[in-house]
Amino acid sequence: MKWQFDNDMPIYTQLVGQIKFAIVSGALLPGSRMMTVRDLALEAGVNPNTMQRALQQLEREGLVYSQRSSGRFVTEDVGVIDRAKAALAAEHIRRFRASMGSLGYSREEMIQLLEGSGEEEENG
Amino acid sequence: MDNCLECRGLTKRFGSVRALDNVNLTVRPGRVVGLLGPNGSGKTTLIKLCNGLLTPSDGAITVCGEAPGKRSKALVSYLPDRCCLPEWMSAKQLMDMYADFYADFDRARAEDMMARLNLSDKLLVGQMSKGTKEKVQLILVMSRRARLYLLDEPIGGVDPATRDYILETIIRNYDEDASVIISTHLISDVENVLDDVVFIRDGQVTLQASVDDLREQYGKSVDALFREVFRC
Amino acid sequence: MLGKLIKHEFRATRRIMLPLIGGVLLLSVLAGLSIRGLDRIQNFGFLGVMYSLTLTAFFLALFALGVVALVLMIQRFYKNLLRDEGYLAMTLPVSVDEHIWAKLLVSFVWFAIVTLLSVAAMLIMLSIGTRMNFLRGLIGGEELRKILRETLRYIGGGNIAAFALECLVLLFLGSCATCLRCYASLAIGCSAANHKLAWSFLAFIGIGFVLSLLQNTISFGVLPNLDFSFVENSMESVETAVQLFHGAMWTGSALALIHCAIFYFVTRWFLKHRLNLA
Repeated sequence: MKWQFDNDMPIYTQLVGQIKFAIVSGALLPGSRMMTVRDLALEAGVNPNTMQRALQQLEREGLVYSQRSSGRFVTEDVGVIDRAKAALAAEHIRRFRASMGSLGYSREEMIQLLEGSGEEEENG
Repeated sequence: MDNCLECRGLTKRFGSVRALDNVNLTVRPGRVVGLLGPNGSGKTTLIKLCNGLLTPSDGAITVCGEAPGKRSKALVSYLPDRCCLPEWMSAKQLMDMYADFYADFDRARAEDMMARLNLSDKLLVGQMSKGTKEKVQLILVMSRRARLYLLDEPIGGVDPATRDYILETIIRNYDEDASVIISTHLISDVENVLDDVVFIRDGQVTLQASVDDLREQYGKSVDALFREVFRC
Repeated sequence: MLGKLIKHEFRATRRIMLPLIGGVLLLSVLAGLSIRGLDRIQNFGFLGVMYSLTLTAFFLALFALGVVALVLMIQRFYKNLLRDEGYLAMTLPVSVDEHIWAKLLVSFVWFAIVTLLSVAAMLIMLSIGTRMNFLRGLIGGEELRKILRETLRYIGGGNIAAFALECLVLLFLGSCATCLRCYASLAIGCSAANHKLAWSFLAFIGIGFVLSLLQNTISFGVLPNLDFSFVENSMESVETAVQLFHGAMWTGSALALIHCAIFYFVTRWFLKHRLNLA
C-alpha cells in the first residue's frame, strides 16, 4: 500500500481513511488477511499504537474483524463494504459540490462539465 | 506495571544555571515519546538524569519504579548523542560485551541486523565510517529488550535514507510494554512515529500531549505548532 | 559483575601490554647475546655499535614498560570512565564501586607482572650474557646463598613467609594508594565543565599539598611530644632492630591503607554525584 500523510489532520484519521479506501477500492479483498499491526505501522512509517487505534476504529465500523489467534481480516460482508463505499462517494460529491458551488457553478453546469470531462478522458 | 519514567519537581542546576527547572513528567509503558526542544533546552540533561549520568539537584526521578542506579540501568537502553564505542573493539567484541552485561540483550537479533548491514563482525569501530558507527550503536541499543529506551538525537545529522533506517529499526524492535523516548529538534522527521510529545524550553516542560490530539486541536502538524511556540 | 568488568578490563589492556612484554623478553635475549658479542670482538666496530644499541634498547624498553603500565592505569580510568566511552561504561548495570575496583585490581596485576618481568628479563640477559655462569652462581654459589639466607633469617625472624606477606601487603597498598590518588585527582578534575585534565593535574598537586600539610603538622606538632627513645634502644641489638623494621613495615602499610581509604571515597563520591561527561 502507498501511504501519504497530510500535516494538518490527526494521523489516526488519515490511517482510517486510507485503509478504508483500500478496502472499498478492492486493493484489499474481502476476507483477506491483513498484515500485523507492527508490519502495517512499519510500512506506513507510523507508530504501532496509532495503527492499532485506526484498526480498532475500522473494527467498530465493521470493515475489519480480528480473530484471537489467526490475526485480522477484511470483512467478508460485501454489504458493509458497499455501504462504506457509498458513504465515501457521498462525501466526495459533497466536497465537489461545495467547491464547485463556491466557484459559482450551478448543479446543471456541474453535470455538463462532468459529462464533458468524461468524454475527453475517454477520447483522449 | 510501573511507569517507565516519573519526574516530580525535578531540578538540575549547574552552578547558578538551571538546566532543568521543576519538571513533572510521566511516561506510561508502551509509548513512543518525542522530547522536543531547541538546542540547549535541557533535553540531554533530562536524559542523563534518567540514566544516572547526572544526579538531581532537587526533586525526584524514578525509572521503571527505581531510582537511577545499578538496577535501573539494567532496564534502560541508552543511545547517547555521540559515538561512545571504544575504537579498538570489533562488532563481535561489542556484542560479547553487551551479552555479558545485559541479561536482556538479544544476540540473534543484533547479529541479524548486523548481517543486513553487511557488517563483518571483525571490523573494528575505529575502521568504521561515522554513519556505520551510529548504526552499530543503534543496533546494540535496540537489540536489548529493555523497558525504557532513551534515544538522544538519534537522527541528528544523518541522511534521509539513514534516518528512515533508524526510525524503522526503532519501531520494529521496541517491545509492546516498553517505552521509547526520542529527543530531537527535527520534529517533522519523527512526528509520524510518536504517540506523545513533550515540549521543553529553558529547562521547563511547556506541553505534554498526544500527537493526534494536538493535530486535532490545532489543525496543524506538531512541527508547525513547535515552530509557532518556539519562534525566536 | 565485578568479574565481568575485570575480564573486560584485561581485554582492553592486554592488547597493549602483551606485545610490549613480548618485546621486552625478546630484547632481553638479544641483550644477553650482545653482552657475549661484546666480550668476543677485538675492536669496537659496526658490530660493537649494534651490540651496545641493543643493550640500550633493552634498558629503555624495561623503563618504557613501567611507564606504559603507569600511563595505561591513568588513561584507562580517564578515557573509559570520564570521556566519551564513559557514556557506555557508566550506564552499564554495575556500581561505581565495581568500576573502581576493576580498574584498581587490573592495574595492580599489571604492576606486579611488570615488576616480576623486569627481574626475569634481567636474569635472562645476565644468564645468556655470561653463558649461564650467572645463573649457576646464583643457584650453586654457596657463598651467595648463605648471605641471602642469613639476611632473610634476620629480617624475617626466620619466618620468610611472614616477611613475604609484609612486603606484598605494603606493595599492594602502596600501588593502590598511587592509583587511587590518580583516580581521585581525575574524578575531581573531570567534574569541571572544561579543561578537565588541567583541573585533574591541579587536583593531584592539591592532594599532594594537603598531604604534606598533614605530614608537617604531624611531624612538628605531634612527633616531638612522643617518646622515641625506643628507636635508639632498638638499635642496640640486631633482634630489636629487626623488630623495629617490621614495625616500620606495618606502619607504612597502615598509612598506605589510610591513603587508599580517603582517595577511594573521594573518587567514589565524585563519580557518583559529580560526574560531568562532556
